[in-house]
Amino acid sequence: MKLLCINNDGAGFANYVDVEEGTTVRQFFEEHIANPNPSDYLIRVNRQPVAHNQMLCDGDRISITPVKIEGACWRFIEASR
Amino acid sequence: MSRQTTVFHRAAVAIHERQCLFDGHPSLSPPTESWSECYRLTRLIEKARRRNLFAAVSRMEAALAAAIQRVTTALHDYERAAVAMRNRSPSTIRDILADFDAIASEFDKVSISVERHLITVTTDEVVLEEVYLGSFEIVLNWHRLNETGAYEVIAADARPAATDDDTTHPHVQSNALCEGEGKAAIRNALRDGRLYDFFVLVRQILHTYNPASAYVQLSDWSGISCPECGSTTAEDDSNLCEDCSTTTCIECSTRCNDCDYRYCSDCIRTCTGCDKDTCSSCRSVCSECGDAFCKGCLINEICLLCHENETEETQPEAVVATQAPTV
Repeated sequence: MKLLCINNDGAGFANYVDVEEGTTVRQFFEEHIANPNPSDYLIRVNRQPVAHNQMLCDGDRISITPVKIEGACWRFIEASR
Repeated sequence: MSRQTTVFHRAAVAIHERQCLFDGHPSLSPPTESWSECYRLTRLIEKARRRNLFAAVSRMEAALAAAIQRVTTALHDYERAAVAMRNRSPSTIRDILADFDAIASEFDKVSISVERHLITVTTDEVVLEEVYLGSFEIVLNWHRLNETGAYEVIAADARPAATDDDTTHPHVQSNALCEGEGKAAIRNALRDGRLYDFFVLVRQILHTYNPASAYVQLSDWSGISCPECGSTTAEDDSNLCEDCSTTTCIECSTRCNDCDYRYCSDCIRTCTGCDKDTCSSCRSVCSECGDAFCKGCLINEICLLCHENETEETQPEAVVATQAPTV
């Protein structure tokens, strides 16, 4: 089945991915995140919070967003150029 | 249909139409430079082989391996960007409406002005390292989704840094959020019209503190009020008086000319002799006149003036004494 995956841990591209039937949210998360600790991420399926054992369905939209995203300040960015 | 639903629907149509109008695409740049470098190195290796320059061949083979690695990485990025571009399509009205519903359920307050093309979302209260910063309004102009400055982050109940009224959050200055790690994800969310993702990303940045790159560090947020001039100053720009331990701003502290430590105005005096600033430890009282002097202006606990007066008083007697026998 096909899902729309938005991984905001990085560039945040939206991509369609193929997954096996019966894949749970947790399995999907562990396969797609390098250091998977669910408490460090907001995981939404079809924009709604979900249980980790919920099974994904064809056409679902899953987004993974880090809880902590570090901002910066312009002078730091200018200095690091 | 409720009023909110009507507004959501009108806004969703307007955003969709705006996105359809936008004909810009992310730029794709194939890794031609790295590829040319591979060509150049291959030619050089062949030339070096013909001349039996084995050390040069070995060096350039290593350089070629590194160049191939760079091409491979760049090609992967190129492929990813091309796939993303191919998959790109404006959000449907249904997607945008679903985003609005999700935003309304996840944020405290959402308001939309179709006339001004603005979506305003209010975050929950932000508290970072026990510093209360209040809630923030994220104001997005959907006519500028593909431009920098598409949105502003405005403190709803501003608690700016003591040293800078324009800094309402360690990563917000003049209502502009410096996105840091979230920059690419925010750009892509806006470009794709994924409004829910955009607002969540901004909120998560507001709830994160990066002390290594803050406009004003939270440790300096409240600042220090100078008891002498009343101004508020950052801790780094303040001075602890060496004598009475009062903290003042650096401008209200004075450096002792003898010991080089800085003091508040109550603990430093001007030397009566040379007018230089001197602290109480480096200052002594002249045993003759009782005035305070720095060490350099005292000789045997007597100031230079009293010393001169004393010399003048004793000299005539000496003259008299030396003149006496001749008379």
